[in-house]
Amino acid sequence: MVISPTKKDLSTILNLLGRLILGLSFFMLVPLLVAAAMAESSPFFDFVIGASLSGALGLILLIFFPIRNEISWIHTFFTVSLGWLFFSLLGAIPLFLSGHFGSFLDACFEAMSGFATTGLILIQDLDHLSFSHNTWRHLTMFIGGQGIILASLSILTQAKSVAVGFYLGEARQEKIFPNVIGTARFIWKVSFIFLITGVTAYSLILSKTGLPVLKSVFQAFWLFFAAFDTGGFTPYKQSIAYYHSFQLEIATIVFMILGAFNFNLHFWLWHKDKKEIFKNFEIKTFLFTFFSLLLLVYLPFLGTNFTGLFRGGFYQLISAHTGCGFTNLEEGVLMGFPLLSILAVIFAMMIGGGVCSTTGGIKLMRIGIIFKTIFAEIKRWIMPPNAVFKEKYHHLNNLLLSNKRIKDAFVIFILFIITYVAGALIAVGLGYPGTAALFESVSATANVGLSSGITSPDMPNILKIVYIIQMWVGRLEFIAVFVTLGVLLSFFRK
Amino acid sequence: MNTDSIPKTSFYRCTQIFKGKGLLSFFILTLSFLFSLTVYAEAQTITLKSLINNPGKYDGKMVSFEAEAIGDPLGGRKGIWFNVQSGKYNMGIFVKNKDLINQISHWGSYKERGDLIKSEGIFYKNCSVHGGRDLHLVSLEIVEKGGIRDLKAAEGKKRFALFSFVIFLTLGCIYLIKIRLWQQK
Repeated sequence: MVISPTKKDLSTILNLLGRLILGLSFFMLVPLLVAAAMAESSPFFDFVIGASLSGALGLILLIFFPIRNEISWIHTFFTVSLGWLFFSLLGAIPLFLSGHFGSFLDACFEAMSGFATTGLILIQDLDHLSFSHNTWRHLTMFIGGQGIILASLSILTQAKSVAVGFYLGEARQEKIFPNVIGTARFIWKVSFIFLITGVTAYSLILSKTGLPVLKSVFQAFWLFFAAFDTGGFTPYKQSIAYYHSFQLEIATIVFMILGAFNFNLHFWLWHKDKKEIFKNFEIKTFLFTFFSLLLLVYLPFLGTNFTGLFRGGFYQLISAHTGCGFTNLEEGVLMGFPLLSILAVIFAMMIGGGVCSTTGGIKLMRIGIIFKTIFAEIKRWIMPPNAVFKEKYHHLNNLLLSNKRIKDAFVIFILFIITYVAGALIAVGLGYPGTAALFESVSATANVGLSSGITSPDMPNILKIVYIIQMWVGRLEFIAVFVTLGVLLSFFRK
Repeated sequence: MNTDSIPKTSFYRCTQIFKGKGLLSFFILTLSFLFSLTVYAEAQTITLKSLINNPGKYDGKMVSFEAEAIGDPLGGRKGIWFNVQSGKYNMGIFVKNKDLINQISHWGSYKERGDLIKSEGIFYKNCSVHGGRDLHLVSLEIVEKGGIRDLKAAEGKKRFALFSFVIFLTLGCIYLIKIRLWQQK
């Protein structure tokens, strides 16, 4: 039997959605102020329109749809799923008005890419984009990465019990504190400290390369949002390759890795046990998968000098594994790699970073559990038939490899694989080569942003919609989306 | 450097004819070699699109293309980097001699259209020094000066912004009144 929402439930959901949308319109004030400060008159009006229309829609929902019953997990799942779609639609308004997009669909694609912290782009003539629009593009990643739901909750509501549903709904399956508002505060605190550190470091590096101070500071903010929230947008079409700076590449690696760490691990390292970094299951899995894949990437590059190895392989792999999507290679170079190296990058993108982080993909914890289950099964075959043993792993505490954990890991793993393959098959059906199609499908679903070259304003609209859906379901890790669709179906059947 | 493109036949004949004939042969050989080099060094004028789509064809060769200078000049190890754009194609250019780029007065950005420049240099598909695809600039010529972009907001956009803001304010007032009424109840 499926839980079917009543009209009262829908009213409650739309009310919550209204609050989130109102929160979005407040976020648009940031680029609006930037436009005013930088004397960018046309972008200023773009953001007045964007913020006013979003605010108006939020208010309409609040006025006409009051909260009619007690808020439960079903409402929050619904709100999370719809929230991402509405954010992309409304966040696209100022982008579309900038005149840098071929269609509103392209602007929606860009906005979804930002909110889902993917980094695939359809913007045209990016190098002539205004400061304020660039601020908005990068801010979408910060909002999406830090959790649009948590952000709006922290600002707009005090409903503590509801917050748990929002948090689980957006694919962060672990709680750091029993009180989710406490979790939100911790995430904000950590992010703020890293923000100060990151922006200072990037500003210094950029100033040293010769950028004017104001530009350095702005671009430092944008690059921090993109690196720490593993988003991958940059203010220039050439991505990190634009800067031609080895120091900047190193600095971005540091924040990509920090963003891909489990926030639980951050908390543990800050407040409890620093030695956890050496014992943690996700870190061990990361080291294993990263260095194994690095070998695959490097095999065809043997004999190249250090600069070639670093720029050619190491940076792309870190960017892929953390789900960031920065690249220090010029357009088209990555897909010129030998097939083995490209496959290694695809595998890294498939895996992603830690659970309860800003990355997408299957996640290290699940990959670790799947590996451990396979080894446990092999052990079981080798051991005497009547031997009893329990497999454990260390993630903050010693945990038992229970059947529930294994089942959960496999369900998400299979859903991701199906989505990766389905997206690739659609692109192949539209005439794209297999490897490039798989690369782009994985990049969209795992919210990475590295591109094989398929994502461009010229690609078929159907493929743009497919990638938008992949970014959406990948970001929410399927469950919130499936619950929403199932419950919605039951509502209309009634 | 790709020596295949040096016209070997004339050079080879010279070496055979003047073999062992002292100063005269050395003089003619040198002239012949220099002539070969000039032929080799003559840059192929192409488009940036063609260069990026066929990197293997132009690897290690002298090429020249027109593109807009964008962003800012950036300091690098033993030289300066800058970037150019032509249509949807971009490329990083490395310059050892900073004076070469001093003639660029407009760099493409939101407010400015960058100078259209003709860059001539050696293209590397995979540069052994910088570890990526780039062009090592030899000479630069301004084809067309850039300038300030016309960025005025359209009147229609301004009116629509005002209209949507008024709607937002009206709805905001209605919402506040409704909250007041709820609180009174």
